Amino acid sequence: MTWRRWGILLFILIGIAVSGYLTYTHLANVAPVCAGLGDCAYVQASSYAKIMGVPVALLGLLAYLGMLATFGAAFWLLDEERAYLAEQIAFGLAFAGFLYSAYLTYVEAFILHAYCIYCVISAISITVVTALAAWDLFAEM
Amino acid sequence: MARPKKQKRTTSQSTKKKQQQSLWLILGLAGLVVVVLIGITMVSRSRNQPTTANVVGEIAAEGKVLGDPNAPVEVIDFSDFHCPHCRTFAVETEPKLIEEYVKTGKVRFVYKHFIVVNSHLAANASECAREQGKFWEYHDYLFQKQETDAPFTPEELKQYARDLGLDTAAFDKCVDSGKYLDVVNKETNEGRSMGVRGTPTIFVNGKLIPRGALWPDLKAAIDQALQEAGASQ
Repeated sequence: MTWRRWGILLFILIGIAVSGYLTYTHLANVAPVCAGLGDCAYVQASSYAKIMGVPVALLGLLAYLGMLATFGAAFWLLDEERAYLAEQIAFGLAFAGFLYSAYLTYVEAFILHAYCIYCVISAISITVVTALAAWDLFAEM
Repeated sequence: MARPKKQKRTTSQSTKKKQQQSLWLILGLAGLVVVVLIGITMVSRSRNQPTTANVVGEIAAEGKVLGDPNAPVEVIDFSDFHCPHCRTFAVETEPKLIEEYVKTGKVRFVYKHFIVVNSHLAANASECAREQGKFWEYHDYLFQKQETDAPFTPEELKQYARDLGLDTAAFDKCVDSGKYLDVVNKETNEGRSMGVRGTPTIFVNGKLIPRGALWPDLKAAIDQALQEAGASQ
């Protein structure tokens, strides 16, 4: 197991922690009221924080869990050929997450003018995961 | 490790080619998924706009009061044009409230200012629009334009009035002089004394409704108030 792979798993776990926390606050926010909004609450209350009623944080959490499952399977469980495919799928998930995070960061910077620190941590995590996974994949090609 | 490095180097050319193809396919799919997600966000944003002013003309509207002045139940909404939850209320809950209760003469709906997010200028401007009988049009437009926590600038507020075809000379003067700031502050203080801590906060016949911005809770409170009003008649 290379340091690259440990790094991938570590940053996925960070992503699970922050997206899990944001999902929890989103769902626990039973009384939707603005009262001295912090930047995070503002970002989370904005119309960009949901896609057809589903909190973006929950989508993020599911994506990280999917990455954990597919990377984990690729690193430990599967034979070589399937492992390579699993890692490609995992990389695809990470890449999609990276692109969507880039869009969300753009929304924070240029539309909302407000940053949610947890969203930023998640954006950094997914960027690192994507970069390390690309490196891992292409190193093997 | 399931795949030691030495073994990998023995991978045949055709397998490599297949792997490259599947990688490009997966990356393409990932890009497509993201484009679809962003598309859905944009479309639902452009569709989910407030439409409260559409009923003005169809039902009675006097200033910031919508509906029959003699309706048995009064719903007051303490709101802030910069608050995203207030936008959600205007987009999701107001149309249901109007359709089911205001149009049928059971409820009159009253908008009041409660400043939480630096929205004094916007609130004042909405009063300037009210002065010209266009409060609800301006209300819809402000929520439509609400994208940022940075306060609407006076220039933006004036531009919106121009977009809506208001008398701009009177409107600009009203915005610049802060003509209705005392009304805005008075209503905010009134809300505070009634127990308002954040926006939107909803009152039904003078009673603060917890979670009143959510339609099921608001509807239950209105039904109960209607029952009480019926029983007392």
